[in-house]
Amino acid sequence: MLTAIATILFMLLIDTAFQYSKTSSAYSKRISEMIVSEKMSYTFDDITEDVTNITGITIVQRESDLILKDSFPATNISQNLARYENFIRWRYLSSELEATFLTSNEQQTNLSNLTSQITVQPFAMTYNYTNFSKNDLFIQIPYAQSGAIQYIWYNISVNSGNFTNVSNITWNPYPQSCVVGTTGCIKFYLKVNDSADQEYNYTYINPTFDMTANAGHVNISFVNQSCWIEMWLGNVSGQQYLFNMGVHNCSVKTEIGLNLNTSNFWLHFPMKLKVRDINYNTSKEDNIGLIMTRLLR
Amino acid sequence: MRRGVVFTLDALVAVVIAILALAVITQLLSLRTGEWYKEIALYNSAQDFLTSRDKDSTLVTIFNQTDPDATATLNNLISVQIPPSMFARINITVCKYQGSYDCSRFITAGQAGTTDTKSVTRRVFTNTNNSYYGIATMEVWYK
Repeated sequence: MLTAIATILFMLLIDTAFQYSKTSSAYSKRISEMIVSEKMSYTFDDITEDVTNITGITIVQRESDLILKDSFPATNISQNLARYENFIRWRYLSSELEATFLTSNEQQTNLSNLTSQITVQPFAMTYNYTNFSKNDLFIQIPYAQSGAIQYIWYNISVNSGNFTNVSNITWNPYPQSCVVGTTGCIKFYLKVNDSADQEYNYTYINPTFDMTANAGHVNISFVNQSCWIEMWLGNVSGQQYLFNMGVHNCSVKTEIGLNLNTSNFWLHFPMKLKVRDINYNTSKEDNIGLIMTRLLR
Repeated sequence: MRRGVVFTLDALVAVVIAILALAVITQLLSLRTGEWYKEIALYNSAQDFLTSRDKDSTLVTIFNQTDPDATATLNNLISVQIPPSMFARINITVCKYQGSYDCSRFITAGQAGTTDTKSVTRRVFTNTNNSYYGIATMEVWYK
């Protein structure tokens, strides 16, 4: 009888220990999965941050201001992206981690095929160049989304020449002004500095342009005649531009700022990155986002 | 004779139960549940340190620093940011692309720990305009 009771008690003890063991095992599994998940996110962010840096664009968010700083022209960006991809595969990724670059159609590709277009969401606004040589810049937003922009400023610095004659800079035609608050009407500020720090300002009172109307166009030349820039604001051949700039033999820095109606926006390239843990067969896949520096006002 | 058989069976059952109990306890001990907590804290410390150094440009600045300067900077930052209950060591590998990757520069800062539980995190950083590429490997232990 006593033996039977002792046996039952032992069995109960073993069962309790077994249940505890199962719970602990599940808990340990969850923790290890959590660390794996963190590792994948960390690796994903590490790579996307470097891709942002290699493309040479700096993004700053200050509350609802989006500021894009860029340099024109650029050299070797696609080549540098290819070398970076080789390097991370050779030295960075550990044996259990795998990184794959994907097109928007989920086809495997190389980082050097990155398209030179940045999309600002949720407005579907695009900031792009013909290619990463950066001899031009096109900024567009769907007409219906244009109300998201309170105003834009364009600060252009030309580092490779002095204005031929700053007082002779004139638009032909001028941007077509419009009533602030109507769809497609953009309030803007524009200034251009040369390498001697002379300044050209677009001096209209309450300057605006209608992005659906024929574009205003300006051509700015410099003492070095091989260097000139041109800009359009508005509609060029049926395409509506918030900004369209051509850079010809000049070294130019731009700061384009948009005051938006929300501080909830994000930017990404069309390419995706997938980071996978081979042992756990879990992965993180998303568009390659551009890293923003967030400033307090 | 009959009493002896019962006693033997009793003893056998006790031995089997004891072995089972021992097996379960051994399994429980091998789970090292407490070690996971430690590993998370170590992992977070290592990850935070490297992320901060990447974002404040400490890592890319190393490309243009001498080895002693880089070591001094990293030692100072480790002493400030890593909790006093932990040891941390950072190994930097600097590579230069010259047709192929020449990775012949190595920098170490911090202090290695002696305990079994440690966390290792890596970060890549680059200055592609000057063809520099680097890997930072951070190891963190409890004291």
